[in-house]
Order: sequence, then C-alpha cells, then structure tokens
Amino acid sequence: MAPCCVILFHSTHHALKSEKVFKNAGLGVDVIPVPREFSANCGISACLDWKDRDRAEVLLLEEKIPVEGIRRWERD
Amino acid sequence: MSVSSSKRIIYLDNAATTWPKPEPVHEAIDFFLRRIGASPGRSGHSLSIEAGRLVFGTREAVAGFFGVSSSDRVVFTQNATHAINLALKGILGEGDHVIVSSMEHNSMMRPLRYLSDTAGVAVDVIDCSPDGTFPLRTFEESFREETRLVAVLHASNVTGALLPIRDIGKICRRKGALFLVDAAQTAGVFSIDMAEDQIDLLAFTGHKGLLGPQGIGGLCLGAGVDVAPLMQGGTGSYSEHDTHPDILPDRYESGTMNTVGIAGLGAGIRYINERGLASIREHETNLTAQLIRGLSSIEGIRLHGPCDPERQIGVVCFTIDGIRPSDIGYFLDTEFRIMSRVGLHCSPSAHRTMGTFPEGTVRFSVSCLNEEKDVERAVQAVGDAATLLHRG
Repeated sequence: MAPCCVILFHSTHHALKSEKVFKNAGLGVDVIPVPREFSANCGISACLDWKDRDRAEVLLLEEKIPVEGIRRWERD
Repeated sequence: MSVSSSKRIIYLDNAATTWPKPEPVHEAIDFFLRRIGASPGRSGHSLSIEAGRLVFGTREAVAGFFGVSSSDRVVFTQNATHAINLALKGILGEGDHVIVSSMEHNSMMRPLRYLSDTAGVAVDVIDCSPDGTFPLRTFEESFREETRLVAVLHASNVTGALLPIRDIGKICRRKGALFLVDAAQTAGVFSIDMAEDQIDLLAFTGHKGLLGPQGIGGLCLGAGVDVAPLMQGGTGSYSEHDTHPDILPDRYESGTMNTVGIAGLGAGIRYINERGLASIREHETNLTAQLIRGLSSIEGIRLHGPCDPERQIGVVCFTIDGIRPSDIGYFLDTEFRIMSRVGLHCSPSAHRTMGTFPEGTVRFSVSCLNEEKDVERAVQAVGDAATLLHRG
C-alpha cells in the first residue's frame, strides 16, 4: 500500500480545520484516530497521500494551523 | 392559566430568551441527539469526530459572523454571564482600573463588585442620561494611567438604547485599554465586527438574537489578547499531563461541551445569514416603531428609553401611573396570554439611571419571528390594563 502522510495536532479544532482546508484545496484527506505507532496530544489526525505532503505543509503554514508533527506511515 | 389554553401565546419577552425558534434550530438539535450524540474531541470513533465537526463548524460560523481573526479564538461558554466572568477574572488584577456604563446588567456589575471587594480592582461607572445616552466626553475624561479595561453592553436590556461602541472602541485603542463588549442583546440583529469596531473581547449568548437554545454562549478573543482561564480540567487533549493545556480553544473549554446547544446555535446563525441581518434589523425596527407609537397613545402611560427605533433595539419599557408593573404583567399573561417581563430586569443600576428603581417597569421585547398583529394585540391589551386595573 502507498505510504501516507499523517499529520498530528495539539487540538481537535486544528485537526478539523486542516480537514476543511485540505478538502477546499482538493486534497484527499481522512480524519482518523492517531495510528498506534505515533503519539500525539490530540487523539485524531489527518491522513493524506504521501505525495501531497509538501502541498499540505504549505496550506498549514498559510492557514496558520499549529501542528504537532508530520509522519510517514506505511499503512498495514 | 395553563399553557394549554386555546388563546395563541404572544411572546414579547425575547430580550430574556427568544421564542419560538426557527424550525431548522429544532431540526439541528434533534439530528444531533438522534444521529450523533457523542462527545466531541474525546474519542477517535466516527461519531465523536462528527460531533467535533459540528462544534468546529459552529465555531467557524461564529468567527465569520463577528469578524474574529481566527476561529480558535472563539471560546464556547454557558452564556454571556459566563463569558463576561471569564473576561473580567482572566484579565483584571490588583491595582487595575475598569470603566463601565451605568446601564450594565448584573452579569457585569456583580463580578466587578466581587473583584473590587476581593482583588483590589477599581471600578468607575459612567452615568448615562435617563434615556440611556452614553456621555463620550465624560467617559474619555475618566481614563487613568492604570485603566486596563473598558466594559460596556452594546445595548441596554432595559431601555433598549444602543451604546456608541465604535466611538468607545476608538477611544480605548487610543488610550491603550482593552475593550470588552457585552453583545447579549444585539448579537444576531446588529452587525458586529471585532476588527472594525476595535473590540478586544466580545461576549455573546446563543439563546437570544442568535436564536439557539439556552445554555450556550461564548467569548471571542481579539488577536493577541490573553486571558487566564476560569477553570482547568479534561479537554481530550494532552491527556497524559496533569497540567492544563495552553492551546486554543482547549485552554478555556474544560469538561464535556454543550454540543447539543452548539448544534442549535449553528442552525440559528445559518438562519440569520440566510434571512440577512439587515432584513432582521429592519423587521425589528418596524415592530419597535409600532410598539412605541401604539403605547404612546395610551392615557397615563410613561415610556422609558430613547423612544426612537433607530437609536434602540427591539425593547420598549413602560409604566402606567398608579398601577404596579407586576399587576400589569400578570393581567397581560392571565387575560391575554401575552408574555412580558416586569421588575428590574437584573439591571438595578439601569433602573436607577432611568428613575424607575425600585418599582421597575414592564418590558416588551420583540424578535425577528414576531409579527405586526402581535404588537397590535399587545398594545390593545395594555390599553385594557390601563382602564381596568385603574378601575379595579
């Protein structure tokens, strides 16, 4: 399976804000519980195609959405 | 008389809580309770995420509605009183000076009195004229070196008089004080923009002009405004720490939220956006004008406040010489099923300013869902009260 880009947040608010921003920009995004390989301060994360990572980072910066981390995730 | 009586209720107590609510508000609340129901921000399952989306969507709607710089600066509270307490207690400390108007509600006056008695906060009250006019020059002269905050309501819940918040905001900016606006009576009817109006903290409630249910309100924080939280507790984030998170909006929202209230509030704001603020204001202005015109023609009646629909919200207060306000209110309810509010309206200072303390007044207040025929019947009923209660 193609690798995913998992974005971790401090707050649910920012996870859901990122979902809105990514969808508005035409990126495919799933909001999922934080995968067990990672830990984060907020229990949900945004999951995109790894190839969209750079675009996602630009959008997060533009929208001033605070992020706890961005991880590469090989989905089982 | 029980509410099952066949006479149609005429509800003119909208300044306390608007009622009825638009149908989509009922639908949104019902949908949340039946189809979502879960706690937002607490679990990773799909219903919790959906509840989170609902809270997020309403937060974004509130931010758009009031021109808040970022939606994470919209903090949900129980009501405007809770929001005002959060603002005052999160900002003021020993030696700080605050300026308020004499029209303030007890939601402002009581926490300030508490801070004055227990925390060494100095409070100056600017006397408005009996019709509720706010004296800008006296206000400007009352600033001190240690003035930290100016806190006023946007419109009086008693006289209905609007305060010149844009002028007050400009003066606060020039003097370097923070500006807190209590929009309990105006949110949902008047355009309020935190940036344009130079507001640093905006307290609102969801159950009045915003047409949501009771138990939901909020405080909007201006960019860079820092307020200490009132409470600490579970937020669903940073769960492994026993220290409270600083991240917004979690910092101010401990404990499970009133998600059902937030669902209703979101639907209320959507309804207002679809109908249009200007159209709602125009509708209420027309009803207010009709109320003022009709009531003024009744013999022995005294109207209080500006008596000018352009300078006030849809609130009209009156007394009738020789009849107690409580007797009028009871008569209107039992004989005509007209709901008014009598007494001091939680605003003794405003009544002192108007010269109606301690007896108070009868208050009619309209919403965007009242109609001309409601006002017509209310005016006729007050005419009957003036005649019959005098005779009795």
